[in-house]
Amino acid sequence: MAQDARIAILNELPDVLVGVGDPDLDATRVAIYLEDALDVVLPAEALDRHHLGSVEAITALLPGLVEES
Amino acid sequence: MCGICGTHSPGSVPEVDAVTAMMAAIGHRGPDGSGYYRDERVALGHVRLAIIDTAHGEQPMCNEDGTVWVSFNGEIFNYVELMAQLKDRGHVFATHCDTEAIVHAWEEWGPGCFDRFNGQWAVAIWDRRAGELVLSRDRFGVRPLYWTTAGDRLLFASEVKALFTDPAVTRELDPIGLDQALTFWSTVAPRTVFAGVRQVPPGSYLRVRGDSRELHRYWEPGFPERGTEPVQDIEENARLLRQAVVDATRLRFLRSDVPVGAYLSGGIDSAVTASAIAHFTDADLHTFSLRFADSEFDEGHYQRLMSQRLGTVHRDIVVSERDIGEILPEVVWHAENPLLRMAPAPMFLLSRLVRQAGYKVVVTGEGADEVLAGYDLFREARVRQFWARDPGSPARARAVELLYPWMRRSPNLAPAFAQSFFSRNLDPDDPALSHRPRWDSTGVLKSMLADTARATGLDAAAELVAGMPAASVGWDPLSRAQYLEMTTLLPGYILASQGDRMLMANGVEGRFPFLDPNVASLAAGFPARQKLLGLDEKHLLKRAFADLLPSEVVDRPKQPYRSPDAASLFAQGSPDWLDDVTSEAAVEAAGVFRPAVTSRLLAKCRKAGGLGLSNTDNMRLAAIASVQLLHHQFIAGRRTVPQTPPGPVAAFDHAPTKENHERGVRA
Repeated sequence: MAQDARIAILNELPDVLVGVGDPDLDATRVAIYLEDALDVVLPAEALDRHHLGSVEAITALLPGLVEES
Repeated sequence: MCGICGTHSPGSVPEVDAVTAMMAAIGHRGPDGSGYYRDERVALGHVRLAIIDTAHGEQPMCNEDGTVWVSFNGEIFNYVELMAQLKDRGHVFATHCDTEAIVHAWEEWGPGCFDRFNGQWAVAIWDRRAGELVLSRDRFGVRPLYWTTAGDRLLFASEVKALFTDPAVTRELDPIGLDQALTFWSTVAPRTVFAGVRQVPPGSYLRVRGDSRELHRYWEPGFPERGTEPVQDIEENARLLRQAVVDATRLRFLRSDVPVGAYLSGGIDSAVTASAIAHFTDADLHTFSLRFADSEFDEGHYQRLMSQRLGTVHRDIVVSERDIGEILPEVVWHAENPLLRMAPAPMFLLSRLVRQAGYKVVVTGEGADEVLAGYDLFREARVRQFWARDPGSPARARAVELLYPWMRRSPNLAPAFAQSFFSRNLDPDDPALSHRPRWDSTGVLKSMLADTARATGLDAAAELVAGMPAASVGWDPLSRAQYLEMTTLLPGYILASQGDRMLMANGVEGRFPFLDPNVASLAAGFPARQKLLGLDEKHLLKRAFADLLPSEVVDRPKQPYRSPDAASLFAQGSPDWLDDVTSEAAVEAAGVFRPAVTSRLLAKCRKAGGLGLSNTDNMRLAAIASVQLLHHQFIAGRRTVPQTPPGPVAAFDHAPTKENHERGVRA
């Protein structure tokens, strides 16, 4: 993935993380965004609020998103 | 905005009466006057709605030496810039009309001129030098253009009813066209619902020379390969979008010699275009809105909010169920298509209000949902794509609850709904994954068809998918969904049955900034994730115009335009025409539907007063009523067609007849 796309995705994440009130559903929405943006399939065990509830958690899950930035 | 018609007749001189009869049939499209051109092979007819250079601009129009003649419906918004280029190349203009820009653009660039046009058009160009008739239509199909044959003659017109004025043209419904309409909500160009009647597809032109007919495509929707979008920064994309939309709106508001108004639906799209006019032009803005007596459908609060914020002179019309039922025959007459919703009828009443207020041009928000991903279908497809990657995953199945707030409030209902609807056809590799639920739920209507009206051995959806561009394999799934929407529902229903036809029925031209080629091309290049950021539909548009719109309008959940369906025929009594057109005898005589099935449904709807019916039953009823009306008016011919074209009538008769030889031809 091109560097400008990775930077753009990191910049977009705070807007995507704005919640609807149900942390698990919010995590699902983040997962949809990430799979579409990165063209990946997230593992079943990562589809929860712990892995997808913050920028820090996401970058820990997907280190490639920041490593080359 | 106008209507066009004509004949290419290689074997005989076209009849004047035949072309004036066609002009009369579409007189509503151009009440300000009419005209025809005729020579030994071709007749071109025109009815005019005078908008640009109203004192001149009589059509058909020709070049300096009368070798190129044009009959034109629509607007070329960049005609001023094109005229300047053409003058630099030595062309001499007699008017300030965009029509004349087409004449000279054809001389200069041939078919390459269509790529240069920023506009909405259906145009017939008769090039006597090449002996060639060219029929061209704009990129998205804003303006209609139909053709058919009778013997060695080719007839064309803005509306089918003009073709049917020729007694040699067969009047028959097409089972394949019906099948498409009862799958996609509209036929897919070039097919129509009438056997033997074709339409020039959007972004295409038909070349006719002698007996030869060649269809060429000069444009179709396209998207970058996933991951190669030119600009990744979301703020930059929002800025680019704002500039393009403002430019496109200004162009459509200012390029007119008559006053231009704007629709305010209560949604974000028309709020953006009206705001662009109010903030970026000096003109007073008049706005028009559609309201409903039934509060379930009414958006009056948001319309008033926008009107007050922009300081517009605002008018609205409140439509009742009964209004819709009573006007439906007129609506179907103009739509010339099966309807699966009554929603076009209120649009007809709205354009009548516009015309009565003295306006004949309005700017509207059509096209935003397609080019910027506004429909629920796109959000649903995102969720289904996500679920399809692991259909057994409970976490992925829960994603459907993100679609509609009521699902979160009804935890017991949601899983059942998801299982029964969104989980069907979950094939992640299906290029039409986005559209299967709609096509499947609409296709149920075909079970009502009589055996003789069924298209046997046809899989309309498979045929459509097989025709998708090879490059679409590399597009984002959202882009593929947008492509399907832009090539089916947009031209066939949104811009036709609910757009051009409902506007032009009352002599009103619609202008659509979101379908400006610069806006559409820019939007196609945005990363899909930004258009639906976090499942927020039209996110970039909201981001681009957030400072100009009330948050109440920006943040409200998407409200699709809807109107009462079955209730319009049963809630406040039934309209007089209903029994005559939908009786068991009438259904039997038309031969389209199975009479027992339609009778059962009508009895059910009548008993319920048109209320509380399922979505499918509402669609079934609309289909029966509209197709029966189509048959009644077009096939059985029980509708009186105007006989006289709007006056004054300009005649450019160059046919080698004895009369013309004696009196000399007028050019």
